[in-house]
Amino acid sequence: MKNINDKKIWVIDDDNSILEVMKIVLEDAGYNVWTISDIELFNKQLKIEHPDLILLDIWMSEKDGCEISKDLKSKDSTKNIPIILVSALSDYKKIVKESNANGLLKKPFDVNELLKIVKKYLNG
Amino acid sequence: MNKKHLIKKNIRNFFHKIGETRDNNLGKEHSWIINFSISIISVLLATFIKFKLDPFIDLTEAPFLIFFASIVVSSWFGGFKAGLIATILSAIVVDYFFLSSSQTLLFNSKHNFLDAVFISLGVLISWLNSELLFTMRKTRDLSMVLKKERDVLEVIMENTEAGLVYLDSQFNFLRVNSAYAKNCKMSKKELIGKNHFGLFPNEENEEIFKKVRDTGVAIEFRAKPFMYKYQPWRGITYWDWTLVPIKSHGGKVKELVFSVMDVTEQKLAEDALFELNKKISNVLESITDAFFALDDKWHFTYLNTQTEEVFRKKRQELLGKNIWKVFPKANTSTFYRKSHEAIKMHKSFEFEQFYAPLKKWFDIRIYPAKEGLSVYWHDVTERRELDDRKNEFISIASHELKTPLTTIKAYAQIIKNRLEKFGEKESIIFLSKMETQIKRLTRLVEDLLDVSRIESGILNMIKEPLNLDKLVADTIDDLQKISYTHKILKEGKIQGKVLADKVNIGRVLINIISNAIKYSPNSDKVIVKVSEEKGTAIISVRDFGIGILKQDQKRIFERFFRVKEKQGKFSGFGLGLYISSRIIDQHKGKIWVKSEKGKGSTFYFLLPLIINKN
Repeated sequence: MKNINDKKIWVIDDDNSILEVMKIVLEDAGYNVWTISDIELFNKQLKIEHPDLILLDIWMSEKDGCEISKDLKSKDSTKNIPIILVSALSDYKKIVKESNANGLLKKPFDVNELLKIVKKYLNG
Repeated sequence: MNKKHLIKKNIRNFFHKIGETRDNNLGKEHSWIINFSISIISVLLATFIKFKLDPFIDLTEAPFLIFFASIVVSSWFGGFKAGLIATILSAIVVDYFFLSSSQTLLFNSKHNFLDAVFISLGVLISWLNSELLFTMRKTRDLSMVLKKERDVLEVIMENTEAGLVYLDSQFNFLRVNSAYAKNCKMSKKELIGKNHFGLFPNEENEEIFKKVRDTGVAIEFRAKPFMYKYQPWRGITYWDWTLVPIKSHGGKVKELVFSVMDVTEQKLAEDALFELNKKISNVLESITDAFFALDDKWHFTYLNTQTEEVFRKKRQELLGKNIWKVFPKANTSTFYRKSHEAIKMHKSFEFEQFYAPLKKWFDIRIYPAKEGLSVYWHDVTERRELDDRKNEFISIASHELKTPLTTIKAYAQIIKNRLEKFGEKESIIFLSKMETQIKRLTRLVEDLLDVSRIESGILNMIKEPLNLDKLVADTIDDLQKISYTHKILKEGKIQGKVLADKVNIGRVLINIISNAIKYSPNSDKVIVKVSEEKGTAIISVRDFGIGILKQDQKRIFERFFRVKEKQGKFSGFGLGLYISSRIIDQHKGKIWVKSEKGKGSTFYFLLPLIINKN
């Protein structure tokens, strides 16, 4: 089993302030965090390596998080990567169902909530 | 006495029989045996009479005379042939008995001339008599036919609802039937012999009658108005009538047959119906909705201008046509399904549908009618687009407002966590207060967005069977953790489940219990009571706080309403109860309040329990 420091979490959001604060919280907890706001870069990197968990914002200006999630879950190579959607929208149940994501974190979230859900999917 | 009577009777019978025989004679031709017998008998009778008369009258010079009578009788009763036989027999008898002294059958040249004259006369009498008989027979047949025809005509005339009149060329009544007399409100006797236009003057009609008489061409009218000059109380009457000229051999019109039918009632009913239809169609034309009606075979029976415009087809192109043949693409639509259901279940439907060929949204209402369907519809594309924009705006607002909140909240927690390590107690208290305010701000943002969602009708509910008793207990637990001033007590129990959205009903509970705590600052408890009653779950939240004035009690569920005197002391937008009431509405429940100023309030809401089929 990997050490907590070896667990790679990718955070995808088009808002830099969110990426920044998430990076601080998750790195403080000891995770290896990579934040991306560029989808193309994300796709390129995905061909090289796979993270242990993806935190994905649903609503990004360039691309719909739901679509990205659906895409990843439909491919054999990436379908086992746990995906947590991060959303400010309210009908989250529908979104999870449509995107095939593993979990959902509502914005604005509690720091402890974030750590709890991350821990849950990294261990599982 | 009896004997005399008998003879009288026999004589009467005899003449009666003769009369009968003659009548029968007219009716049919006899067989040759009867004809022959008649001839022989009459000639024998003549011979007998001649012998008997001889002593009294000297007929030596004209011995044939009495025999003419026998020829007349024979040909009268037996026809030409019988007459001919009687003539020949008579000639033989006369020759034998009366002309030749030797009483021989040998013809004497002296008498040949007389014989020839006698036979010629006999033939002539026979022929004349038989012709007379034939003519009489024909005449009787004709008169019988005429009588029968007249009887039939009479029956027909008297048994029709149409008024029938036979007029002469000057328009005097020759014959009228009862129906006509009834129409005129006069008796037949009063009419016969009178002039039509004398009784019912009307210049226009008189001209028409004259024209028919002069041209010999029949004329027909439908629902022609007529005013009785001498019966003004009848008002305008309407008649279907025909006037047919009867021409003589010379082609001149001698008589006219006038038939009339009173259609006033039908005409008035038709007019009323026409007026009503006009009114209905005016209404249907003036409404902004498009409207069309279909019969039970899906044929268009009516459509208004708006429908013409939307379909981009003319009325004439659609009326009588099958809708599914005119618009084959509609066969897979919701409209197709719903209209079939409407007819089958005799139920009305309202729904919105996108019509691809026009790229438009329509609100469609289908009502089953006695013989088909009525469909009202209108373009809601603009509203749908506005809804879409609104939804998009809410999503953007939600995202944009929550992103900075998320960051602020996370940083506050990071700082708090770090300060805890250094034991900066005072700063930690400040940060906790900041967190509380962030939470409050988050709640306000959520509320505002919810109101927008409610207004747009997109507050999504995911209803599932819900253990309401457990939800109440859990909510009380959660709230108790952050309430240090009040004890929240739960009383009673609900066994059944409700069909509800857990998150939203949870919000209603949080809202009402938080309000109870908030508005009872001088009290130390809130009582939450749950119970079941008549198939519903009832939840009440009682506080011992400031209470609500009677006039405000109804309005507190309105949007943005806040009790005036509370505004200074208590924060909030006044949206919580509005959102709660809308959530309860969408669960087919009810929410209300009982309160007394200064003593506290009790908020109630009820939800229908799921009926247990067992």
